[in-house]
Amino acid sequence: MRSSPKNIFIFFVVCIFTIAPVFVTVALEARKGTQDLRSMFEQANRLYDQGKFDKAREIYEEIIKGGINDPAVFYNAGNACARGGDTGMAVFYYYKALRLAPRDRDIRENLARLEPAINHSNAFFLLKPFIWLKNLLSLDAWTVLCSLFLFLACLSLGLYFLTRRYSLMAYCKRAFPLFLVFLLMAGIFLGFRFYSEVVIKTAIVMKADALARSGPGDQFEELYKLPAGTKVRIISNPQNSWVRIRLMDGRSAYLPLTEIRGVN
Amino acid sequence: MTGVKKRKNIAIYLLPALGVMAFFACMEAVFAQDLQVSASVNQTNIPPGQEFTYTLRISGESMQGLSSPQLPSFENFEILSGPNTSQSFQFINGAMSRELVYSVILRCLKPGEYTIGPSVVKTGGTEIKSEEIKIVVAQGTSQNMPSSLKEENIPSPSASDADLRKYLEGKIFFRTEVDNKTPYVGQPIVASYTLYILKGLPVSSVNLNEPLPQFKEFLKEDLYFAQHLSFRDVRIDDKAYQAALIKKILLSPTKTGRINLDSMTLNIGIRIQRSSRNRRSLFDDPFFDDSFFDPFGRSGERALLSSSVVELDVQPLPTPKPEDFTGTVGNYALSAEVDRNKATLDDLITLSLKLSGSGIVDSALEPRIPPLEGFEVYETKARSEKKITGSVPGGTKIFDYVLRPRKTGDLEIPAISHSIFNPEKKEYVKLTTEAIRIPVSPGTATTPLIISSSAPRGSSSEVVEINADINYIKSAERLSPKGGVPLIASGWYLGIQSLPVLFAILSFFVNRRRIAMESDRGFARRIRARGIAGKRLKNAERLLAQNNPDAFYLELASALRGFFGDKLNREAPGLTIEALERLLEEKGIAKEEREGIERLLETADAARYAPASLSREDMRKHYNDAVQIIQDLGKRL
Repeated sequence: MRSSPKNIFIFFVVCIFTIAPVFVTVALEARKGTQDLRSMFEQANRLYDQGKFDKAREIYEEIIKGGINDPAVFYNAGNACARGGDTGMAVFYYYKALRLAPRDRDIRENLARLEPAINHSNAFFLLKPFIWLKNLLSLDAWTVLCSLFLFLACLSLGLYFLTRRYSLMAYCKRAFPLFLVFLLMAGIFLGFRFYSEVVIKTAIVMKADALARSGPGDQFEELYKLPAGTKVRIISNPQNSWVRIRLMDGRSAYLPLTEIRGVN
Repeated sequence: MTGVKKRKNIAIYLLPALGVMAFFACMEAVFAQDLQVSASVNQTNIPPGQEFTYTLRISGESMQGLSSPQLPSFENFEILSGPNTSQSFQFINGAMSRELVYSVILRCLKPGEYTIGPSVVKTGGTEIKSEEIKIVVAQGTSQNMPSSLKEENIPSPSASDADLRKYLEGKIFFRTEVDNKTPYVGQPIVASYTLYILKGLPVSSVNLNEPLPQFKEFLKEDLYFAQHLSFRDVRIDDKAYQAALIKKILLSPTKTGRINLDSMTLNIGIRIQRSSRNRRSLFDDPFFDDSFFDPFGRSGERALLSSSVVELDVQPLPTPKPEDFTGTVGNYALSAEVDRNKATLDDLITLSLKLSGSGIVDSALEPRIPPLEGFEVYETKARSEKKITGSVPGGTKIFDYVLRPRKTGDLEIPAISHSIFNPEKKEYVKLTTEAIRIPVSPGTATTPLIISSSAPRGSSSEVVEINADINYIKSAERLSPKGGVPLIASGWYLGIQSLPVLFAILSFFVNRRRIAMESDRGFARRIRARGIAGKRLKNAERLLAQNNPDAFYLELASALRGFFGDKLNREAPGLTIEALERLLEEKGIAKEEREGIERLLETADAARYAPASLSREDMRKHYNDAVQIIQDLGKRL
């Protein structure tokens, strides 16, 4: 069979009519699933308004288990936990929400009210603008920004090669290094964001007055009493169900795995 | 025997070693004995507030192993400067001696007899102590003081020159006055520090000595502090003086018993005319009378002037104290008001209790409010507005209570009683407010706040945080889709990222090919050869279908010649079969293939002139042969 334009057209029409229903079905199912979760979300909000915080929390957690990765759900779950007196879980959910919506003032304010002061590390003052910029966008937002600059850089380079118009070529010649520099800068922030969110393992202390010890076991000396909601970095692999942690001020100790919950 | 010998050998080495150690120990003791430690003060009888110098001298030939001396604690004294150190060396008859001097400048504000403990000097293992020194701090009252002020024990001026001191007695003095020497604890008094100078005394400068008194046993508030001296004329015992108020301060004693009011010290500069009859000091030498040293015939002298120390007898508040007395002393009135006449369960009501009158308003204490039925009471915030009329302190202190109604109906804030001590009347006074009624209607409040820091409410002009609570939940129009893996870690996303890069790379190669085609005609022809030949073959196929052999073979020959002309970069019209044969041979095309091409071209050429001799099948076969040749050689040429 020869490949004529007519044949190609027929082939595409067949493809569209075969594949499109599959896509439409999948999309409708996904939408239906999301709509179900959304009605659950509204129900949980209503329970919260009625003061039934524990019930609301259960539903929020069910939505999260359903795979929804929405900052509003994490935030509301945090609020329900806070109202129910579970500071550790509240801080945990706020941190989850903050990763997705780093500029959200509500999350930041609630976190500031609940989390212990030790969570705020005192960074060197020259690094503060850098950290502020890094925390301005979520990991995905930095990724998309990098992709955008990569696309623009490649587009300007491609157009520079392809175009025969000298004016466009001149624009592309100027735009390419500019987008390349933007790409590099966004890439640096993406790298640091990735490092702090994915590479560094962060956890929240769930139990109030959790005892941090000098070694992986109850027989070791008690070093610190940590309040619920303390943010720690996990710096070793689990050993006898204990893990070595580092507080934000640099002190290290061991905590049982049962008393912390990993944010990433 | 061997053992005895060994012991002898040890003894031989041990004895000299012990000898050396003993020698050094003796030397150390000798050096220690050689050290001389002495402590002294430049004055043992001093008026309150006057500074004096404590000096510790350590002298000796060698000061090896000497550690820093341990100076006494100087309890009851105020250290103004030091310890300052200096050292000196002396060579007498070839022997060197060294002296270390530690000096501390002190002063004492309270009269009494005090002992400065010994200083301790350690050298090696030996301690050497200096002697103790007794200091008498007493008002050095002068006989020349006006008789009406003699009871006040105003100290006479202090100067290095005794003549000057005597000269100044009664002519200049620094007086402390208080309006009440027996106040109640918490009752404000006014203390004034005034400088008096006999008219005509040539005072050139007046400076206040630092540090200023702290008045640690009082609450204090400055009423006046002289930046420039403003003198007024006063007469005391028929003598004309000029008086200048230096400082006026409002004090409220915080403890009972006898308390001395801290003394202040002035540094006075005086230019006095010296007469040759009164020369006694070093500068009394006639040499210094030369006008070169004092063109005005006067010499500058300095004197210290301490204010008199006033003892207060602070009275405790009378007992029994009323139950609703919280410690407020003054002459106040109490009133109560709320910021609204009616409220709902959603509202917060501010109850303000206002104490206004005379007294130190900062020290006025919060009234005890009775249980307020139907209200939840948060913490209180106090604010005060001070007002001093003349030397009488006063003002208003307002205690704001934030109330939240907990039930509906006519709620009442009952009368609040608060007792204060009025020092003028010398009795407790009960202040009472009037009851306030507030109708409360239902509100919409449902959920109680979980975090209640109960911050108080301030004035209406500022934003006041009533409660610290977490922010409300969010609603979402739509929830973000399922996921959890960051974009950067998902394979499909990274795959998409390769597309723009591929586009750029492809563009680069396309551009390179385009440049090559534009600059190399042969290359361009080679690239396009198959395409052009393909089009001609399609035309030939169409002619075959129309059964037009003449045109068909013409198109077929053109396709083949054009193809080889383009591939070999030769002009097609000039490309004879022999030339083509030679060129293909050079390109390494096999003989059979060359012969096939030759035959096909000859057939096509011949058929153009005798088309009837070839059938439709022959035409189809020749067409297929041409397609095959172009397909085969298209890749190899």
